[in-house]
Amino acid sequence: MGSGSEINNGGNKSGTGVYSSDGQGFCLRWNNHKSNLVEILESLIKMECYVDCTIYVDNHVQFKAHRVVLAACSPYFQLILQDAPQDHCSIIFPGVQEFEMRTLLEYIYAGEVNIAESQIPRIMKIAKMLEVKGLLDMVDLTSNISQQQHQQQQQQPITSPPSSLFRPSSNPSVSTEAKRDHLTYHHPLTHSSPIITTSTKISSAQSSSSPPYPHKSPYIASFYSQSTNNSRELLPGAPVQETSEERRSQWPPLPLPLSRSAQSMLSSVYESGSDMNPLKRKKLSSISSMLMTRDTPILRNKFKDEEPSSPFTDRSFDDEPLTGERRTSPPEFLADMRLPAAYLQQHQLQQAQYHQQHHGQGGQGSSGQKPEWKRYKQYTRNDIMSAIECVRNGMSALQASRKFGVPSRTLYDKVKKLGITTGTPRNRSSMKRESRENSGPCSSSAAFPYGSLSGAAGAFGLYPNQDNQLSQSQDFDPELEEMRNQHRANPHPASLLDPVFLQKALEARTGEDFRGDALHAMALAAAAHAQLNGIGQTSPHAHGSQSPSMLSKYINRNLGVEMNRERERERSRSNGEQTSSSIKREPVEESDEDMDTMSERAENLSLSKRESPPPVTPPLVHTPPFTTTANEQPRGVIVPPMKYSSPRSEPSSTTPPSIMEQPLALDKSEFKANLSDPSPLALTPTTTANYDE
Amino acid sequence: MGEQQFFLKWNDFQNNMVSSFKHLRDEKSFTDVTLACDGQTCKAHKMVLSACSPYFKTLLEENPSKHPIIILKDVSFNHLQAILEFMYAGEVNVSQEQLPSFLKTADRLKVKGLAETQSPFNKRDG
Repeated sequence: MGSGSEINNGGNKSGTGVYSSDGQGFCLRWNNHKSNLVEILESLIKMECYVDCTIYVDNHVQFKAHRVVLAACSPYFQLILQDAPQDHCSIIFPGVQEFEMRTLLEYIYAGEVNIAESQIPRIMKIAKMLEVKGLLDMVDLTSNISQQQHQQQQQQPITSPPSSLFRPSSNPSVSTEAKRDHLTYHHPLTHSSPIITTSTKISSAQSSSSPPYPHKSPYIASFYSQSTNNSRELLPGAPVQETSEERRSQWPPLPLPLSRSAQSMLSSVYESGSDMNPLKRKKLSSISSMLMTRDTPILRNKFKDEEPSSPFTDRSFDDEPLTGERRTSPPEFLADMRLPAAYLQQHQLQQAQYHQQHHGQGGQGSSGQKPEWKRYKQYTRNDIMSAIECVRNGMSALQASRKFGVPSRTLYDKVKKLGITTGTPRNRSSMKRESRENSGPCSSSAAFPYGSLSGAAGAFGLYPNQDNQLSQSQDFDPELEEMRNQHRANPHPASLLDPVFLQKALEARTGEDFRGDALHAMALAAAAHAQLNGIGQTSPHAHGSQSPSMLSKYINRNLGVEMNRERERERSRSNGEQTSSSIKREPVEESDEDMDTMSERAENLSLSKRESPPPVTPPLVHTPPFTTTANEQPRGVIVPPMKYSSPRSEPSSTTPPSIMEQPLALDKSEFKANLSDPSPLALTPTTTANYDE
Repeated sequence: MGEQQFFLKWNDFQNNMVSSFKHLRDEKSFTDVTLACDGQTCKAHKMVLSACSPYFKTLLEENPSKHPIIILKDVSFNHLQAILEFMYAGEVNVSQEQLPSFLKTADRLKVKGLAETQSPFNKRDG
């Protein structure tokens, strides 16, 4: 009974059939079901077996296909075919060339296809006409982004249901613009990352009536990433993602301590009805971990206050606001942010895993052996203030931290920012954190060490993604101003949470009175963190509760004020300093100390993992290849993928992003099976039948 | 001696044909071709299409099928409907601003009566 290893066990015991009260139900799950299905479809179409539809294109070329597959991949086909009762129907495409149809069919059946750059506009045009999923999103959302980002800023991203927001077809003006974009093809390319983001939204909206196609968006990414000139950095990165993704999706689940909670979180996300596709999940995780890397001491305090064992709290809340905000941010914002954030995140992911595996059972690197959430001391604002005061009065930071029960590193950090010199040598982590928090002014240069690092590493495939080059761009614009004003006037958690915004805001000001703005932005950042946690705390399962609680607002305001004060002081202190030098110094140090601070980062990350919904995977969000640089070289973005072979030793035709699709799909089903409580069919995860091999 | 031949003429033949086809189209009775564009579809009769447009005639001859679905590129659904209306009824109302693009589409589809009119029309205009 305990093991529940016999299939009829439950039925015999209680007579209530498989769904007996003693929980001995069985879930028979075929882990490879999806891949099997896909493979079979591919082989069927190769043999033209069971085809029930012929597509005629110009020059009397015909293609055979399965109506089911066509309909599955295109709502347009669905519409056309549903009232075509014939045994074998014919679809005639006058004006469509053979190669175009062949490409599209290959895409539909395999989920990916290699095409020449010159063919892309035509293919995309037809794809748009046929509403081929994935490709269609690609086209539509390009215009959506630009059109809706403005609306969204006013709309409070959290409260507005994403699906309705990004229904592309609902807005006639949008669709016309989409058409235009589609004709001028490079336009989409310049918007890459938000596009992808939106694309996931669109697809989820679309798939409300049809099952979600998790591969959809990744394919988009892969589709384009193949063709990116810049994919040098991208592609090396993608495999990394893929491996982590893969690891995550293996069955049995990871031995990592977090994997379990991550799964439960994930499944909660799934069960909440949002059909997240892998892209979104990855994006969420990346955003969350990105945020967490900027974790401030105060933030940690909040974390601690939370129910530590309930990962659902913040997690469930994170996704909507974050993605919502993410979507609203103009593409350029992402671009600048990309490098440091993506790098950090990727880096931390790896470190966290390493950390968990190697330090998990043994001694913790820096903070003892408690679980991560216990390592954070519980203290109040008063504590830290008193401690700071003591340090100001000459006490060493270490002593003060002990006295008031404040984390010493936090204290160092704060003290340093306040310009108080202590007898205690500056601790590395404080410098590190400071560099990150102060990254306001230095963010653009902070990207620099990474950029140079990528120069070395990226060439060898170490670079997490292609976005580094984007980080250098510093285009600034009224949009930002507008956004910032909006943020200022109405500090909304989600909007504040957007690290991109912050980063952008900071970078934007480097030329001018960047300090003042940096201060403000930092305050916003702190407030955002606080708000995030405040929200998570007050509305733990707040998938539905979408407005910030009063508490969080309060926290937000308070923290913002506090941070502002601190920054003000710092500013007055550092007035004499040569800013540029200090800006550059710290990031460099940080990169030098990457290995040393690994465990610290891992600590941050582990937090972020619990917070962030998806199994942390460095998402496609970062991978969209064709962003800022596309401005310079719009068409060059698209290059054949063949030269980048994925480390997974797949056939070179497979591009990294799409590789991830498979594991992800499995991932999802696993989670479902694993926490199968709601489903009577799968009461005992442990007995899950695995017909994998 | 010689048998007398009687000439039977249905005076209302054309009107009847027009109204009947229109009726059949409205009822979607015996439709055997689906036209799709702009994400929408409408049904029609191959016979009418072939009779009114050598383009469709060729297309349908080349791809014999019981009920083909023709997906038209770069044709707006409004224009398609107007063209079908023209084919079935012999007349259609098109707004002035739509007229050039409508005629262009009709020309592409080689709709009899419309395709030819384009050049004279343009000449007159120009």
